[in-house]
Amino acid sequence: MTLQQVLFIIFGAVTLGAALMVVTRRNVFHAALFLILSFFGVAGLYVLLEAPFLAAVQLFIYVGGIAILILFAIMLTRDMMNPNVAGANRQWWLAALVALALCTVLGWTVLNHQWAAPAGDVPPESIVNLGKALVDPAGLVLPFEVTSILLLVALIGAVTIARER
Amino acid sequence: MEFFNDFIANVGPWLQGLLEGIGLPEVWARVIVMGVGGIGLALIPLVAVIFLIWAARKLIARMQDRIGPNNSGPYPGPYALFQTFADAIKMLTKEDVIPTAADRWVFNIAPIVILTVAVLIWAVIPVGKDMIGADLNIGIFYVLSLGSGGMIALMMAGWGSNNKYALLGALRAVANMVSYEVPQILSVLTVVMVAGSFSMQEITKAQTVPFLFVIPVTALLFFVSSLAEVGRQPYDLVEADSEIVAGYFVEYSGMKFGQFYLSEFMNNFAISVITATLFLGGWKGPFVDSVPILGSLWLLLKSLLVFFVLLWLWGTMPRLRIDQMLNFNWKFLTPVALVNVCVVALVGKAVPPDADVWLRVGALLGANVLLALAVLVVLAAAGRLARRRDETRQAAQVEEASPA
Repeated sequence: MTLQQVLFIIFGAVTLGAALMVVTRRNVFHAALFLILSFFGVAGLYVLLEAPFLAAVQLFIYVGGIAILILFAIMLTRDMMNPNVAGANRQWWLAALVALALCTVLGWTVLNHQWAAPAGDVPPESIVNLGKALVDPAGLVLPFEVTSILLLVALIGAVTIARER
Repeated sequence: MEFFNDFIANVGPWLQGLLEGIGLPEVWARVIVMGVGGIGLALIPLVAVIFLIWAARKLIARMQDRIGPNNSGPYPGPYALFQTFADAIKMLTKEDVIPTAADRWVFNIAPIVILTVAVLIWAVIPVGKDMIGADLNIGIFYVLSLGSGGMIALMMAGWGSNNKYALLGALRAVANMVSYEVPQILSVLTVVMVAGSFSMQEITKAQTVPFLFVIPVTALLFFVSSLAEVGRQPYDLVEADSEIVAGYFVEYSGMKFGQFYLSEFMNNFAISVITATLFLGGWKGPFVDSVPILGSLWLLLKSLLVFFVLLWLWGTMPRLRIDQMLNFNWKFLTPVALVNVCVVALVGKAVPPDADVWLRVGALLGANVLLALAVLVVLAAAGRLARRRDETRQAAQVEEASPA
C-alpha cells in the first residue's frame, strides 16, 4: 500500500465515521461538531486529489460559514438541548423518503457514469487555470456572474430585512 | 562558514545524509527530517512567545506610566526576564478544575484545537529565501481558512464551559471574527492581485518596493481587521474582564488556561509576522542574497516593529462596544475595502505588471493616496452632517421643553 492509499483510508474513515456520528448523536451540539470533523475529512480528501484550493475553500465556506451558522442556530434556539424533546417529528418518513431518493440518484450516477481520467499528471498550477476558467467567456463566466448576482441579491435582501423600522 | 550562511536550508540535507549514513532507508530518513523540521518550526512561535510576553508586560507598563516586571522584589532573573518561566511552572502545577456541569469532551478538546490552529499557521510563513515549511501555492488563503478552525475552538470553549459569561464571550468573539473576516479577505485579495500569487514566498519576492509604500490603504485595512480577528485592543470586548470576566476561557484553569493565553500571544505574533511578510517585504533586506540566514533576522525585526505598534494600541486604546465595533466594520471598513479592490484592479489593469516597476508603483500609490483623501473627505462631510442633525434635534427639544 502506498502512502497515498493509507492517507485516503484515514481521511475516508474520518469523513464517514464523523458523518455517522452526526446522525446518531442525541446531543445536537456534538452532532454539529462531528459535522465539522467530517468537513475536515473531506478537505483532506481534496488535498490528496491535488486540489488544495478546493480544500481551503471547503474549510472556509463549510467550517467558517455554514458550521458557525449551525452552531449559532443551536445556541439561540430554545429547548434545542432538552433531552425530553423527541428527536424526530411526524414528518420523519417523508425526510427518509427524500434522503433515500437522493442516495439512490447519487449512487446510480457514481456507479454508471464513465469517469474519464485526465491524461497525464495533474497540472501543478491548477489554481491559475481555475481562475482563468472562471472569467473566460468560453468557460464559466456566465454561471460565475449569475452566482455573484444571486449572492448580491441575498446580501441586499438580508440588509433590508435587518433594517430597523 | 558557507554552511552557516544558509543554515536552515542546509541543515535538512545534512541531517538526511547523516541518518542515511548510519544505515536508515531513504524514506525513513526523510520522514525523520521532516518531523524534526516540523517540530522545529512549531517551536519558533512557542519560544518567541516566552519573550514576547515579557516584552509586552514591560512595554505596556512603561506606556501606562508603571514600572512593570523589574530587578527589584520577587521577579526572577535580570530585568525579570525569567518571569514567564515562573508563570509557566505555576500554571503547570496548578489544579485542573473541570466544572461539574461542563460538557467534558468539548471542554477538554477546545484548548488543544485552538493551540493546533495557532501552530499550523507557521507552516506557510517564509522565514527566508528558500526557508519555508511548505510553499503552498494557496499560502495566504490557507492562513485565512485556518481562522475558521479557531472560531470553532472558541465556540467549543464557550459552550462546553456551561457558563453564561463564557457563552457571551464566545458569541462576541465569533461575531467579531465573522464580520472582520470580510475586510481582511478583501485586503488580502488586493495584495494577491498586485503580487499575482497566493504563495507567501511569491508575495515576498514580488515586493521590489514593500507593499506598504505601494498600497498603504490595504495595509491599514489588513492590520485593523487582523487586530479584530485576534481580539486585541481596541477589540478586546471578546474577553472584556470588567464585563464578562474573561470571556470564553473563564472556566479554564492551570495549563488549559495557559494554552488559551499562549495561543492568543501566538496569534498576535502571527499577525505581526504576516503583516510584515505581506506589506513590509518579509525576509527581504540588505545582504540577503549573499547571506540568506540574514533574511530571518530582517523578518524578525520587521515583525517586532509591527508587534510594537500592536502593543502601542494595546496599552493605549479604550474598548469598543459591540455596536460600535460592528458599525465600524460594516459601514466603514467593508465599503472602503470594496472600493479599494476596484481601484487597485483598475489601476493594475491600466498599468500591467510588465510595465516599468516604478511607473506601476507610482500609479498604485497615487491611486491609493487619492482613495485615502476621498475617504477622509467623505468622513468629514458625514461627520458634519451628523453633528448638524444633532444640533437641530437638541434645539427642537429645548424649544419643546420651554413653553414660549
